[in-house]
Amino acid sequence: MKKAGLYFILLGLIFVACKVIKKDGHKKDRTSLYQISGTPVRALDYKEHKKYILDYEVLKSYNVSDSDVIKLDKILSSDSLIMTVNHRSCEFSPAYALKWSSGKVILISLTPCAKIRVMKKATDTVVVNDLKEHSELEQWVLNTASK
Amino acid sequence: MKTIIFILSLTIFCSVKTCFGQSFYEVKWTGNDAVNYKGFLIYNSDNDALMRVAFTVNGVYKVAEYKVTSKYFTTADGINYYLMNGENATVVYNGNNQAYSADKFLFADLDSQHHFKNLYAYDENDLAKSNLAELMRPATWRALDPKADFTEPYIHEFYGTYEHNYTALVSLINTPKEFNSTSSNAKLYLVIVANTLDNSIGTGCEVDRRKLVNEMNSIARSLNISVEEHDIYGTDFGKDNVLNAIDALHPSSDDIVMFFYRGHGFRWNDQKSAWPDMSTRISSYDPFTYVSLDDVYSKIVSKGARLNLVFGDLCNSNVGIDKPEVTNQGTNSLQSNFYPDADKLKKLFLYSKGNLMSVAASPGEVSWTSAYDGGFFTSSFFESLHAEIGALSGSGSWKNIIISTINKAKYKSQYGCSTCSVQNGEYYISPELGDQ
Repeated sequence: MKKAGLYFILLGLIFVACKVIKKDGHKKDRTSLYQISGTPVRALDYKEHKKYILDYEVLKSYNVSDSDVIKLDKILSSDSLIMTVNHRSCEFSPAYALKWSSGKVILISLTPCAKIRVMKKATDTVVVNDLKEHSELEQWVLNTASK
Repeated sequence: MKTIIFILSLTIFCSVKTCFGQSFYEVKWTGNDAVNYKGFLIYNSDNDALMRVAFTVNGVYKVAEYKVTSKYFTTADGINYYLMNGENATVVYNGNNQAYSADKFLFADLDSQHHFKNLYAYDENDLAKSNLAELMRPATWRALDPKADFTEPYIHEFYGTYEHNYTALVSLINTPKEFNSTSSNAKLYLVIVANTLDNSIGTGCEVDRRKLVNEMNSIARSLNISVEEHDIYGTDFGKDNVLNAIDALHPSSDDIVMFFYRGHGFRWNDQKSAWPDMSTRISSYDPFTYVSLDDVYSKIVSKGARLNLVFGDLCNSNVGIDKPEVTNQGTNSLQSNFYPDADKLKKLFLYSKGNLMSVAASPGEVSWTSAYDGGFFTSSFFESLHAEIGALSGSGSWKNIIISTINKAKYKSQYGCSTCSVQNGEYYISPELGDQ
């Protein structure tokens, strides 16, 4: 009798754990990579059947594998990725966009004018910082886009 | 011999790093050998500073000298430092073949205002030791005002009376030569175009714009000449206003025209000219517009002023497309630590004749700007200008200024910024101006 009670408690715990895991699975922040046009378009000038990310027209989308996401997370967690003090005097013209299902967006322009704009939520002010030349992020984007 | 810790006030360090021209600093410390050292630094720029150190050993008074170069650097764990690196020291007074290890000063503990609170130093010998941190010694540091702090005996602590620098430094004790006796009818036409609203380089552009306005107006006041200023920035930044400002210039044959652009730049895939184009839109949502720096130079020179100076602190990197066939282009007195020589200043602005054009980057290169100190090229221009008209150096030559500007900007991109690519710059100077 005592054993049966423990058995049911164990089953109950497993059930709860599975629900938690399933719930977490739904929360997974999916990552997408897009090639975009370098010039933004005002929302009023959007064209039908076109897709836009932060006013930049999406030209192409790419699959991002789980292993690519792991690599990307590691690259983005690096403290030395972004240059905040020194900037190149060239105009930001992004070529790729990274978009997360949580709403976060990163726009990236490539070497020789490697820059980055990070937008975590819609109310963020526009700040463009510089990336190191041929940074790991740039390499990741080019590799992922070439697959 | 000496490993040093400096405790600095924020403002003192600020004046070391962000101010330009010939500035003077005194540093004192006691070495591990119990010898008291007193240093006198003449600072022109990060790659141009001269230290004299006076000390007494066994009752013999000695003076050592070495050059100092400086740079920011960041360690792998993200800690920022600023190193003033002394090299190739010699004992210039009572040497008796004695060697001296040049001192190295390390500024540390950066605060949120981008100022260092502390300074540590060591010398070449200490570098080889494993207990470098323990060898560091405290010191005091202060900026010197020649009028308040210089006396002949004080200067004589570091320089012999027979040396040029002694005479030049002593000359700074008295009021600088009277500039206002100048009787020139020359007028300075100053055109500054700065993309101060840009969300990447706008802050640095604003730093440079203010510096340009203050400096050039100060120089004009010193020379007692008038200024017609066209300051295009903020929401006024744009192609039409740039072209209108140039059209509005009507210089006489004795006048000076100075055009300075601070903003984004680029070159076309198929561009032959070495000179970049200026991007003249504020927002990336606006139609793309640009003005060729080459065209600006031609238009300005055609107006016939005595001296034409065109500068561009902008990128010269390839924009990735060919040029389209048809486009839709629709204060104050001189700073307290700046001690100009009147004759050199007059030579540059009142007696020089010819044309000069220079840009921050060679074809294919980007130019760099700091949010705190402004463009590497622009800040280097001021450092070079001040050095060229300083009491201790220079001869009042535009050619020297522009070569020095390009070299200093290159140094900053190469050594002052660990992640920047090198910018080499370009210049053209007309033969008559180059020979002056």
